[in-house]
Amino acid sequence: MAVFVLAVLQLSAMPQLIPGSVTPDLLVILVVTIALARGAEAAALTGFAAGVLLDAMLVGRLGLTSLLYMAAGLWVAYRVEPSDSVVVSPLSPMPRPAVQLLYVVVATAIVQVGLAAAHVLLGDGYPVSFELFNVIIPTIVETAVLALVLLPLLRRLFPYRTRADGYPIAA
Amino acid sequence: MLIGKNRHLRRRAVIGLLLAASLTLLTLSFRQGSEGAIGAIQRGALAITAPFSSATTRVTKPFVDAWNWTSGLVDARSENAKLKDELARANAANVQLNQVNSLLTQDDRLLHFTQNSQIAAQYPFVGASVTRQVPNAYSQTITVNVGSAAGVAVGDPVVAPAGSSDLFAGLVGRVTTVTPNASSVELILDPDTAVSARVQGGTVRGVAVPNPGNPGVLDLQMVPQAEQVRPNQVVVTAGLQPNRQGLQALLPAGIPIGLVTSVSQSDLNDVFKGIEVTPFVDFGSLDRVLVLKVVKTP
Repeated sequence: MAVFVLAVLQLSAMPQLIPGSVTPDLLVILVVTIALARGAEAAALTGFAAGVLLDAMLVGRLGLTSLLYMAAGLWVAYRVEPSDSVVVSPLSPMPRPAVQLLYVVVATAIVQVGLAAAHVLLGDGYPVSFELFNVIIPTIVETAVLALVLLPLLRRLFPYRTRADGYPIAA
Repeated sequence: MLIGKNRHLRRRAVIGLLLAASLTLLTLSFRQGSEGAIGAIQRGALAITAPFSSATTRVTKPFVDAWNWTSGLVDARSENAKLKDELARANAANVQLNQVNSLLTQDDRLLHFTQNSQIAAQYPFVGASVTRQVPNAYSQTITVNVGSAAGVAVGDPVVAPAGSSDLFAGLVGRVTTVTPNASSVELILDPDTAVSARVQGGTVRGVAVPNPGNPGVLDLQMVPQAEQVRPNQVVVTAGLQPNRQGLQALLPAGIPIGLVTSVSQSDLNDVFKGIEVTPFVDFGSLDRVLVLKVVKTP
């Protein structure tokens, strides 16, 4: 449901509300939130659904954005999850808001650089400098700004669950 | 430990399946384009999301319109301020242009005067600008930017452009003080000034003095009742010869002074006519003048 709402907002509302040629990536904020709150599987599932829906709505190459969202979500999830050999508190704390924002920035960069690289490899991309200064950096900045508002809302929608019950914790 | 291993396996399976699904979709997308299953998925997604997209657009449009209106208002304000600045600059430029135009017109009229007037042909002259004008009830003088260095001497007559008159220039006054680079000119409107004058085209002579009750107008005095004078006749300086009272005139003959605007005879027993003369020169806007070098300097 959240994927659907944010996809519609990203493609319908944002182009009107945000001036410029790029729009913030709301779905990557959702994927990062899910990765932080629910772990890698949920992040991968959310990234896949978000990517498929976005590509379908944009009549693009189905599966490309899914891969990138999944990659971004998994990267964030593995960054915050405890490894098998580390003893952590059952109540492993949620990263601080600034760190969450940093994850959003990096995840957006992964998605945008991946999309740009894919377009370049497929031969339908723009010059690298154009992609960098006119697409990648503006999208990262706009997404980061919007994440300041959207992250707290999504955290309320998807409350943090302690990972002590499910993840392997060494004795 | 077993739960943890199972969880690991499940996670890997889920992620592997999702990766495989993504790659499959990507491959199919390349192979089929917008046809087949991929096309169906895309059309289905479009059909499902279209109403929501439309609703979202309708909801956000008022906000967008409000934003555009507000930003437009801000733009309009800044543009308004910019246009006001431009208007002020244009007005300033227009004032300067009008001033230059006025000076050119005055110069043009003085040039015509020098080319067509007999008086200008008789004497050398020098052009000057008015640098100071002190008009008050007791003293009517101006200062011009030429002096003895340019050959100007005390007593030289000064003329100025004569408005719309065909005579092009009219008498302003007489030089009373001279320095090397400036001169003081006593206007014919000064209460202490009297100019020996005559009506052009006749033998009527008199003395033009400022009208004390009507500033800017001259009275042509000492014209006998028997003389015939009509309105719109031109009054000029009478000349250097002594007048009837035996006083030596200070200005050469033929310099236009003004037009007769009224002739009255208030009392049959009065010896002289009452004649009002309106000067050709607008004394309120003196900028360019011509000094006729009548007085020979040693």
